[in-house]
Amino acid sequence: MVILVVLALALLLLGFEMFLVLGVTSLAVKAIFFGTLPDIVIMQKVFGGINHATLLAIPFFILAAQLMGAGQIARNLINLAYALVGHTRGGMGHTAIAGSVAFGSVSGSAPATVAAMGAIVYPEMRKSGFGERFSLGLLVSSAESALLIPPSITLIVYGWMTGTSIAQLFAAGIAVGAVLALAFAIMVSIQARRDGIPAGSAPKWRERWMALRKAFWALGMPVIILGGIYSGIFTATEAAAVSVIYAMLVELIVYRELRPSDLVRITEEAAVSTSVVFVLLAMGSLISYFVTLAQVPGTISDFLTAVDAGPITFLIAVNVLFLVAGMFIDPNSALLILVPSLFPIAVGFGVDPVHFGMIVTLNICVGMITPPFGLDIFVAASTLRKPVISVVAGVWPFVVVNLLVLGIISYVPDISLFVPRLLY
Amino acid sequence: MLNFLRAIERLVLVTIFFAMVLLYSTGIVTREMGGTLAGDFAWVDEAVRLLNTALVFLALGLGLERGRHVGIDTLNRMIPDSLRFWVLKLIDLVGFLFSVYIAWLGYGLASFVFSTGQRSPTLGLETGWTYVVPTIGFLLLGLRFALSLLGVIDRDVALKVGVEQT
Repeated sequence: MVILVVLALALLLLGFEMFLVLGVTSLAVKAIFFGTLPDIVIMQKVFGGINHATLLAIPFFILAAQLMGAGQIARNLINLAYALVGHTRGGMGHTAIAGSVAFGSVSGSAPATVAAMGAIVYPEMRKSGFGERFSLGLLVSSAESALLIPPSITLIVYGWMTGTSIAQLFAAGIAVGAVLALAFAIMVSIQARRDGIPAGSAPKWRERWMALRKAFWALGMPVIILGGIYSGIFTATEAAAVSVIYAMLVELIVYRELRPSDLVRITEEAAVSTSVVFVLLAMGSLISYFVTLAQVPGTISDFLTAVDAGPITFLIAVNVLFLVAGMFIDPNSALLILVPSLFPIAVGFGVDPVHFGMIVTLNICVGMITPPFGLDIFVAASTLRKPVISVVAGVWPFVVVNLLVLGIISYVPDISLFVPRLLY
Repeated sequence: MLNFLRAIERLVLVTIFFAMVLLYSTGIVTREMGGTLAGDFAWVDEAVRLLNTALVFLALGLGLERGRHVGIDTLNRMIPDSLRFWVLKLIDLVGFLFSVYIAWLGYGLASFVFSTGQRSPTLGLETGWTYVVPTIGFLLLGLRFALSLLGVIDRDVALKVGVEQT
């Protein structure tokens, strides 16, 4: 088994595409340990792994997000955030956080949020007096809220893998995302005082009203997604499909930002993005199958029982495992490889599946912004044309805060479960 | 020839995606209207699931050509150019063999399921067809790996652009 881990790591470090790393390693596992298993199983797992109704939410949310990113909806949400908090001390920092939450609430993707927010907000943060490192760190870190705030693709994948209600995960994600955003807002306030950044003059109510009016149709999107799901009108997948129709109508007819030809280009891009996510799910499903056949979850569980570990020790181990994995692989791959082994043990220890989902997702948030391989660091460096080392230097204080939030969320389940309990 | 293939792929992907959105939305509307109409559209869920799998597999090749598949190339970029050239060729070779092997498995599974005459529950479609699509998808992916291996397409350039577009 050690040889296979080494093989996977070698392929990963050589620069093989992640789906090849998972796929080739799975084939090697089958050839070495399960040679008698019919080959046909491989194709069944690859195909069956993605042929699920729950997963249909992902292509629809990806398409909706790309429509909104290319059109006016995302921009109007960011403008509204500025109108509401831009005048406070360190207002551009608060705008970056609120804008990331707003953009995350329509995109579900942290790298997309970093790319979109970075180009718009970074120059303004610098102008307002924030240093380069702090600005870069804040932009990269606050984008992680997209992994928690609905419609998070990470939460959909977790829900599909574990059979946990996606509506409940979305509800929990709102609370945990808010805690993370609040922690970053406190950091911004402290840094603004340290840098002597004054508060700006508050915009007139008329200006706020104008920003709200412009964002009216944009605000309809979270209302449809969340309102539709929690009022029982839509399932998460149906809300995703409706959000595509809504985004198309608003961008084409109301804002008139996109033309039908843009629609074709964006849809094609969304198709490729969908394929990129799903081929990972397909290969992840294959490797998960072999992980289960090899009784890895049982072995870990036996080990934890043997060393007399309780739920707290288990959660610490989970956090360490995900933090290390998150540094090397992207969130969906980390989920696909680790969750099948850890979830049954977590449930065995009495950890609520929704709470465990929040812990896993927060760990992935940290992994996405942690060197040496945190994806969002490279997206920020590439988008803003800054050295990776500057982004890494800026991110560290936020990693520490993220870990503190992770500690609180891990050991205070009520924060994660408060909103789901309220709604169900 | 390759441009023609790309144009076909793009046309098919966009048509499938629009069909998915349209069908799923129609399914919601008919369900809200209730009555027998909702029952008449019971096949929509299965159709959209199958269209989604087609979308995923048929876009694999385009995704590779555009450098969109997720990978960690930080260390790869630190290798001297002369050695890196061979590492990229190794990736292309392994990718090609992997894709062709999966396509071959897909062909085998499709043939087997066709021979059983099995049909899907609501669409009544021969189930074998559902395995034909991934077979084609992995062949398209294998073709891109082969073209990159032979130097017809430059995935290295695509990877750099892909990072900037992420």
